Amino acid sequence: MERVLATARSMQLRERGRVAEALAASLRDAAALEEHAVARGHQRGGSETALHFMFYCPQAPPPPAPPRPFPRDPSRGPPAVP
Amino acid sequence: MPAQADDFLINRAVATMTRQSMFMPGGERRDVLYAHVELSFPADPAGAPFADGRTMGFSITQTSRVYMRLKTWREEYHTVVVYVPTRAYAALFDECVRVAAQDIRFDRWGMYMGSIAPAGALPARTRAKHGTYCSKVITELLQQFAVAGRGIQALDAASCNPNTMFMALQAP
Repeated sequence: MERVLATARSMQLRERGRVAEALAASLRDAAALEEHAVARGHQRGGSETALHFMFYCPQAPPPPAPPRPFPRDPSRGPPAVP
Repeated sequence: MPAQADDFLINRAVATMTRQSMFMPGGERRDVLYAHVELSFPADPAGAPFADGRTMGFSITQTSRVYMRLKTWREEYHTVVVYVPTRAYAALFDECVRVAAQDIRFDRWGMYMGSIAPAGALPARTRAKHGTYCSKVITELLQQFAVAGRGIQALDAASCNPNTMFMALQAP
């Protein structure tokens, strides 16, 4: 059982590593594209203007909000202080 | 697209259904998984930037009409910058304002069919009668002003999606 769990953990860590690498590569791409575009803009003597394309990448949904505490009955007086 | 949890599945489905693959310089394959695209104008037609780091966003979502409005951008948005002639930028800006004033609705059927039908196979669907969707209206406007490169100009607006647009922007 422990060996199975260890294998699963190691697979999960490898997967996380791949996701992190892909994200880093994506950020490097964006930076390189921006630098390239800026360089092109400067080369053309400022007769160009930056137009941005915003691509939405769906992420995991946000975690559910924690449950709201049950309203305290005011007739019971202030909460006890330890 | 809005970040409500209930449209998470729709966004994921659109992104997965239309996914593209690209190869990095090192030969590594990367999936392109975008569900939505917007145009973002960092300055007005006279070149003045908008206040508070906001930009003017142009697009449409499943829960909206075509809009052109000031926005801030969440971290889920990835930016691709393209330089266009200043005169074309101003004309495109004005046209986006004009189109956004036409109260154009979202074309759900066109978006789903466009994702699975081959290019040119769909009968014409008009903005006025059927509505439109993000990648279609943006591609049409970019083609109208002949900006954003050959890749974008070669797209079939009716069958493109955010992922094919992203790939088209990578074309030299």
